[in-house]
Formats: sequence, C-alpha cells, structure tokens
Amino acid sequence: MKPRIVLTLLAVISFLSSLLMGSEEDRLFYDGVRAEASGDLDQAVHFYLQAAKLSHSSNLHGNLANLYFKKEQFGHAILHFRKALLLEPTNKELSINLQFAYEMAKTPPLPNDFAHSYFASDTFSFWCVLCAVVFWFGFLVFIYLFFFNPSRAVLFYFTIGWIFSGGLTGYATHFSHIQNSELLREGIAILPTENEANQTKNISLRRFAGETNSANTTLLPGQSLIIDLGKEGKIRTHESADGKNWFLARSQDGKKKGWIKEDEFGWLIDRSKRK
Amino acid sequence: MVKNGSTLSSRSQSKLWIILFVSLLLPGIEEIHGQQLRVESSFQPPSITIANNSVYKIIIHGSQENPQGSLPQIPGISISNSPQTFRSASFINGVPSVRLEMSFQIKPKKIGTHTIPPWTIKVGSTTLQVPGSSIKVVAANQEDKIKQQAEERQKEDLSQASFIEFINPRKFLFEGETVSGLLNLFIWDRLPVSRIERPPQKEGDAFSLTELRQPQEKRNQTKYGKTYTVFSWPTGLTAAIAGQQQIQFNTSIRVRVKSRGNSPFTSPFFNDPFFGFGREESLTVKSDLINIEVRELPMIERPDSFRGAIGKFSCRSIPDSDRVSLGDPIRLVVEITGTGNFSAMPAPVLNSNSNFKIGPPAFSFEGNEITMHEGKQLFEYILTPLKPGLISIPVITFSYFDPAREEYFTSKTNNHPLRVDPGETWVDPTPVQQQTETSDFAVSTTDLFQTENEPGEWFQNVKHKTAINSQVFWSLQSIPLFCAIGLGFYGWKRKQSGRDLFRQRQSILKKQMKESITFNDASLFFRATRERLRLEIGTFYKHPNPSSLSSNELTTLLQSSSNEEDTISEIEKILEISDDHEFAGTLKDPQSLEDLYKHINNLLKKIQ
Repeated sequence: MKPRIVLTLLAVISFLSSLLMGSEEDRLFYDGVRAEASGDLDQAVHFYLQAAKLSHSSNLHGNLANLYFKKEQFGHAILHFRKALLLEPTNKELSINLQFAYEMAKTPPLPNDFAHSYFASDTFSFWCVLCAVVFWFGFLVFIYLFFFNPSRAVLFYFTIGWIFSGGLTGYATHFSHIQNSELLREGIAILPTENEANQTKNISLRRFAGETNSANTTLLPGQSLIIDLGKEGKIRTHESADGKNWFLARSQDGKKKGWIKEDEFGWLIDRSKRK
Repeated sequence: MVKNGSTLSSRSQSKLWIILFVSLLLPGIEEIHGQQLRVESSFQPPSITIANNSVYKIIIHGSQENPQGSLPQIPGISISNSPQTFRSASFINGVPSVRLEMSFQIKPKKIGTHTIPPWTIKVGSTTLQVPGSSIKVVAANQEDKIKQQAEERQKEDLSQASFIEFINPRKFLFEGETVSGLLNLFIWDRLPVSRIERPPQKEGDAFSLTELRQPQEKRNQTKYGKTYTVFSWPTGLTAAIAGQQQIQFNTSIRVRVKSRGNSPFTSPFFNDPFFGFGREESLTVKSDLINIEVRELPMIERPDSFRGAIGKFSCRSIPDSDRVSLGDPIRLVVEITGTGNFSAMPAPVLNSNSNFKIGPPAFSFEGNEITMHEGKQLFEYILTPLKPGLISIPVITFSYFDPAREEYFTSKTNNHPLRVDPGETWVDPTPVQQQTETSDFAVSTTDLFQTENEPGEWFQNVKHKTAINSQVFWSLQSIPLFCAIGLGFYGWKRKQSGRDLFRQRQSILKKQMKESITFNDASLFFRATRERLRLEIGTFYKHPNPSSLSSNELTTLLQSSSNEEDTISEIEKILEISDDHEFAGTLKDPQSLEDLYKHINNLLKKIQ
C-alpha cells in the first residue's frame, strides 16, 4: 500500500506544481498589462520579460514588441514581432506591425522572394511529410507494378515519374531544412540598453572579437544576422578577457561579416531552451 | 622416304622428352629438391662516395619462394623498404638450379665502414642465416661536388625563373596600421608563360590586404643576371594581430612545357614549347616568408577621442552656410586629409545637443582607392538647429596615432558661428475636409500596437517542433513500411506459385487473338484460340501440363465436371473448327472472328 500512496502523492504534487507554474506566467502577463495601462512602460517590459523567461505566447511577444516600439527601441520591437510571428505565423496584425517597425527603424525588411516564401523555415514540416508521402506511395505502387502488372513499359515510366517527383520534394525538403537550421542561428541586431540614447544608432561588426577593435562594418538595429558555424558545426564564439561572449555573425544577405557582442543582438530562438 | 620418316620420328621423340622434362621440372620450380638452400649477401659496389648510392643484394639459392624476416637497420646508411626481386632458373652442369635475388637501394648518411651483421630469414619452413657484409663510404670526390653544384644551380635557376617580391616600406607595423606596399611578380623572359591565372593572394590571417586590380607591366628588368618582365600591384597592407607575424604571397601562372614522350610527333620541334607546341601546366609561384613585427598601440596617453585612426592626418570642418532659418538643415563636412588607415577609420563622434539634432554621417573617400592609404576622407553630417539665435557648430575632436613618431595627436576643428533665424510658423496646408476623406484609406495607427489583454496559448519554445523531431512522424513511417514488406512478400509468393506465369501467357494469347482479328489472320486466331482453351481449361482443372492436352482430352475434362452440355458442345465445336482450320485453311471474315472472340470469352467464363 505504501508505495502506492507515495506515488499518488507525487502525482498530485507534480500536477499542482504544473498548475502553479502555469499561473505564474499568467500572473506576470496580467501584471504587465496593468503596468502598461497605468503608463509605466518600463515596469510593463520588466513583467513581460519575466514571463518570457518561463514560457512564450504570441500575445506576450506582441505586447512586448509594442512597448519597445513606443520606446523607439526598434531593434527590440522587431525581435519580439518576429518571435510572435514564429508562434502565430498567420497573424496579419503582427505582420503589419512588423513592416511598420522595419519602416520606422529604416531597416530593410526580410526578403520575400521565391526561396524565402515557398521554402521558408516554417514549410519544412510540410515538405518533410510530402516527401515521405511521395516516397512511400511511389514505393508501394512500384512494388505493385513490379509483381502484379506484366507491362514493363508502365513500370518504367512510373519509375521515372517517381524518381523525378521524389527528387523535387527531396530538394524542397533540403532547401527548407537549410532555412530552418539558419533560423536556429538567426539573431536581430539590437542596441544595448546603455547605448539606446547614443548618437550612432549602429551596431558594429568588428574585425576581431575585442572591444577596442575597429568596426569592419555596421548593422542597423532590427537587421537580421546569422551566426557562423565553425568547422565542427558549432556556433563560432569567443570569450574575451573581460568575460564577454562574442559571436562571428554575417548579415542576412551575407555581405557584412564581423564579431558581435552577445548583448548587441537577440536570438530569435533562445539557445537555452532549444531541443 | 623411310630414312626421312625415321629422322622425323627421332626428332619428334627428342621434342617429346624435352616437353616431358620441362613439365616435370615446372611444378617443382619453387624449390628444387636436392639443391641445397643457401644465402649470399653483398653490397654492389662495396665502396662508394657519400654522394652516391649502392645496392644491398641478397641471393637465395635453391628456392624462389619469398623469404620472411626483418632487415636490420644500420645508423650510417638508410635502406629502402621496397626491394627489387628477380627470380631465375638455370642448368649448371645438367643440374637444375633456381635462385631468388633481392636488391635493396642503399643511401649513405655518414662516411665510414658500415656493416650489416648476420641476420636470419625464413624460406618456407627453413631458417637461414644471411651472412654479414660491409660497405665503405668515402668522402665526396670532385665529380660529386660538380654534380651537386650543378643541381643547386638548377634549383636556383628554377626558383629564379618566377618569384614574388613584396616591397614593404616599414620594418615594423602597429596593430591596425595600414601601409602602402608593392607586390612584384617577376617572370623570366625565357619562361614560356601564357598567362597569369590570378593575382597574388596572401597566406596568413595576421594581415588584411586591399583588393588587387590590374597590374602595371614593366619589361626588360634585370635581376640575378637575368632579364625579367615585372607585374606590379600597389596594395594596402593592414596589420591586424600584434606579435611577430609572418606573411607570404602566392599566385599561379600558366606555362608551356614539353609534351610527354607518348606524343605522336617524335621531332623535338613538335615538342618545343617555344614554337607553340607542347602542353600547358599550372605553376605555383611563391614569395619568401616575410617576417613583420606588429606592435600593440601604446595605452599610455591614449586620448578618449581616439577611435583607431593610425597615420598622419589633418582635420577641418566646413559648414555649407553660416545663416539658416529654424528647422532648415545645414550640411557640415568634416575633412580628414593625410596618409593612414582610411579603410578602417570610423567617423568622428558628433552628438546631438540642445542646439542641434545631428544625423549619422555619410562617408566618401577621395584619393588612391586601391590602397586606401593616401587621400581625403569626408564625413558629411546633417545638422538641424533646434533653437533660434547665434549658436556655435560643435567642435569636432579627432585623435590619431602617428606610427613614425610613435605618439598620439589630437586635432580639433574650428568653431563656426551660425545665425539661426526664427522663421515663420508652419501651418498645415492640407484642408480639413480632405483629411477626413483620406483617413478612411490610411492604416489606422490605433489599430497598430494594440495591447492584448489575454496571454493566449503558452508554448515552451518559440519555434514549434518540426516533423523530423516528432515521434509520431517516424512511427507513422512504419505503416507504409509494413505495407510494402507485405505487398512485396505476397507478390514474391505469387510469382513463385506460377499464377503470374499463367496470367502472362493468358494475356499474350488474348493479345495474339486481337491482333489476328485486326490483320484478318484466321490461321493465327485459331492457333491462339486452341492454345488459350488448352491453357485455361487445363489450368482450371489443375492439369500438370495443359499445353499437351488434345481436343478429346479437353472435352473429357469438361465432361468430368458439372458443365452444361451446351457449353461443352460449343467448346468442342470451336476446337473442331480450330483443328479443321489448321489443316484445311478455311477463311473467316474479321467480323465473324471478333464475334467468335467474344463468344469464346463468354464460354470460358461458364466453365465450372
């Protein structure tokens, strides 16, 4: 009897703790809404950021982005609009707000060409499933034709068609996989809080990972950047003598490259929560 | 004739003996029984100069089998690991003899007498001892020295045929400093170069190099007693990492060389690259490894306004106006002139204040754009006065490090007074009516940035899981996999049982019948009909060999079961027509053949 009671108690405790955890992020969200309504934007941002450490929702990141926009911190605003859109890609209001934030930040918006729309990172699952369906359907028909249909011509033409369609879907899956893996390394250039009021309004990509190094090039707040991979497929990072982490980044179009400090950009997908 | 015949027979007899003897000898050629196994070893020649090579030879008499053993290593000589092997068989005084020779290349390292001590090898199951042998290595003689000198000269000639030279004006650099250098590619006039494949590239990450454009070409330049054509690229070299650094340049050129020996034209004329013959090969040309010391910039007395400019500069600012109305922008150009690292120079800091709102500057450079080392850097700022009155344009402080004097210097721009007139009050010219009309079409800002009061659905990650990370996706793959395995297995079993063969034959016979209707070939039609009846009726009643059934046997089979009399008689009739046609050749019109085809199909369906 005893182990059963212990197990039941553990289950109840874990259920209650999960409920409590759930209510914590809700509580922080509502605190944020109240603070925003009373006009205390800094306090509202603080509450929303606390909630974002626990969990994510499109409304949370949307609200956070709106607050940053009001504070004219367009880099942060673009970062959180992008996060909100990752959680709710079909939300048109968020898309319009993001476009507006890009305009205000004078930052070029994300490319919307053929490759970035049909093979975008969020299409990866679709292409995966389609690839699997084409493969298995073709394979089953192939076996049927091979064993049950005496006509070899039909089998030949079907095999050609199967390989062709399989190749197309395989290519699309591969391409969207590249976009998907780039998303995991994508960041948005932001001005560190202490520099928000500064004159330059640009984020430096330095020649070498060091504060005193001259800038190779600069990025505008809100511009996307991709962190480079090293030889072992790991993110290229460097810890400077003052304990700051630096990352080797390049702009989305690949034309600008240099080292960037960890507080000068925000990850679209938090590294600590990746699986 | 008889004599001749006896001669022929004796000749053929002797040939037969030789063949018999060789055939007896051949199986035992590996090892001849009776011949004693022994080993000899020697150096050939036993005395050499230090510049020459010798051969260490081991001869195994009585076997041609590969021996096993490890050759001892001697400090004063190096012995090659890949010996040349030679097998021979001979008759010595009518006794067959075989032997195996192994030759190892020997290269001397030291002068003196070097001895390989006795060592053991294993031939088959027999262990043999290789006797010791010595080689004497003497000092190089005059001939060796001449040969060596010739080789060195040849190497020197080759390295002097084409090379890269970097002319660096300074012995050491400071971190971040840019110097203007010259890259010279020397190509000997006697080297048949067809083209330069690419401009020189640097090796090493401690420096950055400006883009190399079209080179300048100079002919008839003399160096090392040779005449060269020199291609020069002016370039800017920037030191990036402090410390003792090395840099090297390389490029590749296309040269014409002699054709290989398998050319169909044996004449030297056709192989001579100077006459446009021969083949092209890529040749890599390198510079010497250049050591450059890169020093760190001094931290002492570094001004706060220093932002990385290294060189010698002067600075001034030029406003485009000294009187404006409030709200009208003025353009302020900051001009930095001199020599230094223009490519890495950031804009001087000019912050907004209570008097001016200042935008980010625009950059432009006038001067040598290849090296970016000497010229004029212009920063253009847009200043918008924020209050009326007599105000001053901010003074710009620009600091740089002079590498020649190894000191920091700070220069300031002049103070420019600016009169700002109050101007007229701005009135919105747009009529109120028009505003209300257009407001319907504009994006309402109140709709944008509206706070959501509910958190919505919570997620642990910003990004949803992809299909390949989902267990459901991979689990679902098992369904078609099992289906494919099942279908494949069923198809294979079916193929094994022969049902597939029956269907194939049935399909072929049907096709033949249809073709014979099309071409009005009654003979083929009835032959195919009879075959089809045999196949289908025989298979239906599980006859082991349906194609062997006669018409009578088919009728008997049909009668043995509960078939209708009409069906049996109809089939019997068709079989009879088929047999008749086979012998009498009765002609049928295509329409009747087609009807008959349909009739046969119906009849075969009725068989029970």
